[in-house]
Amino acid sequence: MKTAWRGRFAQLLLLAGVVGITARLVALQVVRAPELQAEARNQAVHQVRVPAIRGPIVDRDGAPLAVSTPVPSVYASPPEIQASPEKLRRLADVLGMEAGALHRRLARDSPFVYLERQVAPNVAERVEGLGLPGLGTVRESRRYYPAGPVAAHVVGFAGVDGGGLEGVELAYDATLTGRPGKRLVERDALGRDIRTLRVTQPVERGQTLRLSIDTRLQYVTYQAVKKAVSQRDAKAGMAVVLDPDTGEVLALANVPSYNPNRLEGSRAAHRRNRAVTDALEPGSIFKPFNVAAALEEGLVQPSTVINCEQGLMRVGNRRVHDPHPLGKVSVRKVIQKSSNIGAAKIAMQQDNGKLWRHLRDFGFGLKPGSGFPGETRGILHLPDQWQRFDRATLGFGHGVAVSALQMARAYTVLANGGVKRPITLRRPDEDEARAGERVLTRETAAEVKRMLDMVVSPEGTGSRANLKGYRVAGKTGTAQKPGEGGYREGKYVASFAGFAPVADPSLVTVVMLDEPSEPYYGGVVAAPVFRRIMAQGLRLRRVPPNPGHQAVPPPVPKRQALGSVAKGEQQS
Amino acid sequence: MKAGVTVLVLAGLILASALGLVWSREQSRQLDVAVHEQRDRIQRLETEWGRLQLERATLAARSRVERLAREGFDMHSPDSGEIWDFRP
Repeated sequence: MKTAWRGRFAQLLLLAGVVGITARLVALQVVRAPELQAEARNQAVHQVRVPAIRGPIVDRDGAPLAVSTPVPSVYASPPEIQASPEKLRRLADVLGMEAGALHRRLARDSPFVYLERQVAPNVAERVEGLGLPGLGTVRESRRYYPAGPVAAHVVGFAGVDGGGLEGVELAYDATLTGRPGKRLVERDALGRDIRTLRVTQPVERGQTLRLSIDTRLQYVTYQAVKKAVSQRDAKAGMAVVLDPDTGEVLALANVPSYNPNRLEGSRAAHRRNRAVTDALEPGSIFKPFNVAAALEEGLVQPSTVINCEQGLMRVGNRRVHDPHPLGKVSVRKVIQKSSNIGAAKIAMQQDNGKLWRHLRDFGFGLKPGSGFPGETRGILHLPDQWQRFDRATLGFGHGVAVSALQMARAYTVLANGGVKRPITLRRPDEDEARAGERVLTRETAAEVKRMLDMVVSPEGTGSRANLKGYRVAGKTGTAQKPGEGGYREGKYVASFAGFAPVADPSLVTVVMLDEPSEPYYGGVVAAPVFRRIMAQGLRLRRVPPNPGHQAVPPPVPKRQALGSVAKGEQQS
Repeated sequence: MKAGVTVLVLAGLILASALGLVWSREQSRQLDVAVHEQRDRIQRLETEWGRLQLERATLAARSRVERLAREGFDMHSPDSGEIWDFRP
């Protein structure tokens, strides 16, 4: 009996076990199945963001100006870090960080901290070689600027997270950025990717931005300005080179510059693109526009005689003064010799409203439209505020503020025969129509061109801009800098603006030097810089020199071309 | 008799489909690995491309070329007046 009771008890226990397991199975596999499955999927499936690579910036011929390339960054997950102090010291050593700084980073209450961003590839390898849990590397892209300081102000720079902060990097940020993609991936318990389930959003790479800049000309321009700034001990210098037929910016340089690859230590003031963002009182390089307006209105003819009063004229109780006194001369001579009194007299003949409209037509007081961030419109006061003396000084470029880019744009109107075009830093597509606006008759433009050609003759103020083999037109400027309580003694902006070849201008260039030491005249200081840029620029643009304007006959070639010599030998 | 055959056939089909599923899963996993490998390769090549581009830009930098031409070959960029047009 005893055994039978035991057997029955054992049977009961087994039965209870089977029932229990079955009940549990049903509960898990049937009743709670949907809920548990969802939980499992949540733990295993992750959405991963795939960053889009920022598009490169290239020059007009495709040479790189800004390139993004993937580099590793070291991150840590502080809660997962379990490392001996000795290992942490080694890590700090590899990263080149101070042990204290590393400890502070790791003490943060966050699942993800960057230890060091954008490290060299061998540093990343050594970090991975330490084999510490909770430590890893991710790929980020880093931006490099091959042209360095030469094109820094145009290109600008992007931040460590890839957003454009300055220059065209900022202006065309949307084009360059692209769109990050999204992927669903399944991961195992250790967080390794098992497989991609689905691409929920494909990556869109940033587009390539092709600038109108010519790197070779940019280099020549930057070097020329840099050399002049150091030789003349100037505070700063800038130059803009434009294509008068398309409005493209071919080169734009500011000195002092900075290296966009190493921003630390560069001063914010040096990073500003002053040729675009700062307006200065232009001085005499403004005179041609006053004369053009007067010619257009029929108030003067190129041969009209103006009395330049032997160097001193009173307007009301104020005085206008010429450094080189002149008597009765033609309008042409007023430009050639850069007479303030002559220019003032021409300006005083004009009607406020009409003169203002003509100046607006040249783009003064208007943004040049390059889309560059911080582009200034300069200062051109409304005509109802102009007094007689204001108009007189306006005639020689005082009481108005203009950026170098604006000035260059205005000279393109004279160069291309009277058409104003929007300025662009991007190279336009071949079939892209770029509408221009005629603001000056062909005749007036040609007449002003002839006057500017005379400036660059041996008798003109701009003789130092003369090039062998090309006819050059231009205008010198020496503007005293305004300060508190009037103009400041000994502080000048020396400038030169012009174009070449006169018959069919291929380049328009404006050079400005800020506070050069004596001699501070534009014709002495800025004209040689202009000359240097033009000589190289015309060569780079393959503009053939004019044989009639050639000073020296071509040299006898030192060596015959090898091909023809070989041919001669065969024949004999 | 007839029912037994049907069951056998169906059982066979189920087995075949089960094996097929295993096979296709394995296949998909392998393809996924291949995709990963290719993606890694793209990244590696992209890194290298970027590096080479930078290297080329550094080597072809105007300042470097000018210095080499000036010092090594006694050359200079021609000034105006040193350029002639020989085209017929």
